[in-house]
Amino acid sequence: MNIGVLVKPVPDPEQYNSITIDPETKRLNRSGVPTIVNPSDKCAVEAALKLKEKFGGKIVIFTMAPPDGREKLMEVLAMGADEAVLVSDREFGGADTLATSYTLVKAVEKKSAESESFDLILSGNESADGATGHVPAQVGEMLGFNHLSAIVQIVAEGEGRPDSLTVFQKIENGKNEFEIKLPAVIGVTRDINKPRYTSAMGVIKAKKKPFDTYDCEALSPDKSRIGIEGSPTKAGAIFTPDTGRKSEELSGSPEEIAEELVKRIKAIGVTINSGGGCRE
Amino acid sequence: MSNRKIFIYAENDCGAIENSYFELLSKAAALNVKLTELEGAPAQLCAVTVGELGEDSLNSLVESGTDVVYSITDESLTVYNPAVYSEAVAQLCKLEEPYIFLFASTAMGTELAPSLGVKLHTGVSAHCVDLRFDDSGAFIQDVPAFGGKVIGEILTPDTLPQIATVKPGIFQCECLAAKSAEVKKFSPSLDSTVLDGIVLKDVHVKDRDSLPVEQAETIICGGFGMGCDENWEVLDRIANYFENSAVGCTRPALDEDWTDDDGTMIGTSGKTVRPKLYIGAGISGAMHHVCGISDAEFIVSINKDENADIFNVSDIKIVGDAVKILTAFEERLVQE
Ligand SMILES: Cc1cc2nc3c(=O)[nH]c(=O)nc-3n(C[C@H](O)[C@H](O)[C@H](O)COP(=O)(O)OP(=O)(O)OC[C@H]3O[C@@H](n4cnc5c(N)ncnc54)[C@H](O)[C@@H]3O)c2cc1C
Repeated sequence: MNIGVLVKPVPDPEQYNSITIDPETKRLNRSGVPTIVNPSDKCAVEAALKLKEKFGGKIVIFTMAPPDGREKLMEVLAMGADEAVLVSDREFGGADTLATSYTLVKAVEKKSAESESFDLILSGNESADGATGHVPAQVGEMLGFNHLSAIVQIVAEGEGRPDSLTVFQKIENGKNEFEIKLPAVIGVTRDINKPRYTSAMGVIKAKKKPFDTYDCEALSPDKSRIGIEGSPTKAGAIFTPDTGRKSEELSGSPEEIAEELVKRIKAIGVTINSGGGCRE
Repeated sequence: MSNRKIFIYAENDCGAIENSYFELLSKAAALNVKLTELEGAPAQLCAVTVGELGEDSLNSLVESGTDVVYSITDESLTVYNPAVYSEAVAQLCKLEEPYIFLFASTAMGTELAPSLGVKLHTGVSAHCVDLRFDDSGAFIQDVPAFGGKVIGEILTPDTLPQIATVKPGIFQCECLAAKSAEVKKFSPSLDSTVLDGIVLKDVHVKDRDSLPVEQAETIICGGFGMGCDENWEVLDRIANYFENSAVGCTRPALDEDWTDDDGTMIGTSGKTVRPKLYIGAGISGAMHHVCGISDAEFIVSINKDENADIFNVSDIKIVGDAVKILTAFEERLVQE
């Protein structure tokens, strides 16, 4: 089973509170926030590794990023993926999800033409930074593959390369169970698994694995569909929402604090039911 | 009325219309006021539904205050299949050429909207927190980035429809003046290759006997600082003292299995809530969580770290051990 996995380097989501907007330039200031592999993309890699353990085949990682994206790809190769493709060119910059999906699709198609075609493309359901969740669906549409998003479980039964997979999709009040025919694109959420750690051996092996870089010339895309030009959505102003509140501190012993808290709660018109029992 | 059409996708859950439709419709009606000012005439508001609707549901759409109800039906649309649904909706769009198309960012909406973006070659904005027209008539879609720490304006200036998804709970439902919408039936032509790529085998609905957090007036929310399973129970006991209350959680609490109901997670990947009272304990204040509570009327936070970010977005700050404070609070509630 040949699997492509789409991954994206993102600023570490644990540190988004320290991202600010420069009041002068109105540019985003994320200095000091390290770049990591998008959390749900790591889960996609883990899901691919599990499928490979069962069915064999090859895992190729794709990322569209500036040249320093290479470092993050090495990390994913160290987890156990077989090959990596860095899709990188100034001309790809400023792409929205539609242009990004198109560019990734061109890379997937090039790789398929050069070696074997893919049975499955996996990716995290959404990136931590932009979080649109559009890429799995849009890549699926453009490849002409079946596609599903928000997958929390993949069940692959039997021996040999399967024709279809049973997958569970998270919905508002439970789960949808789908059978999806391959080839397919599947977006997975972080509920699906816990990604493995990389071993020292994995890091050493990663250095010897095939690594391709595709620039714009290599992909020969329709130029009206890449980068800022090829993006139907345009970014306007950015701002930080004002979520600040007065943060009045209650102090004293826990009992005193509790007493004051009850007072405050009543003052805003919330009633406390004597004896409890509201949720029985 | 102008020829412009604002489409609103009305999600059909087993024949009943999802509440998110009414939220989107309320916003569309507000947008229409501005559009009338700018252009002299309002756009047509159009509900779009896929699959058979029960008579009551169809009526609730017809009387919802919209001008037109497009009802897309076909025998292949009785069971949800995202590939078939998006194809059917795309065909309607090619025929009717909507100006704006709004979806809820539910599981269904977040799958249909980007698919439609490819089929119609247009832009899609995701999880919008506000929608407006500026004075030049540009349709501005405010989208959160970095977990909601930053809001960015998105515009789709050159292609139509301008597609946006909005998280349920962001806009409030308002009753619109009743009128009777015209129902237009649409039958798409669906070829068999689209039909059998994906098959819905089953729907596993989670039974919940408690009130959903998004409907609660009081939310007692626990985070990683609750420490363990046993400590978690005090949240439930406290919630018991409040009418229409619910216990919410952050991502780590779910990961630790202190609660198994992922429908109670609040934030970017969870629910957006607007209770009168939110009490959070052992929560650091990551934007991913905070953006889900910013519409709460009154926020009380308990954290042992006096510099925790959560305090910046709280009305009341309590520095201390979550369990000690909550236990004292519970003992005080008993005396009520
Ligand atoms: C794409 C993405 C989406 C996400 N979506 C969501 C989402 O929807 N909802 C969500 O909640 N998270 C989400 N997260 C995770 C989010 O970034 C944070 O990691 C999470 O909200 C932190 O939860 P927490 O505050 O409970 O835990 P922590 O950040 O670990 O904070 C624990 C807090 O408890 C305090 N504490 C510890 N012990 C005690 C004690 N004894 N008494 C009092 N206080 C104590 C600590 O001082 C600390 O401030 C998402 C992350 C990503 C990447």
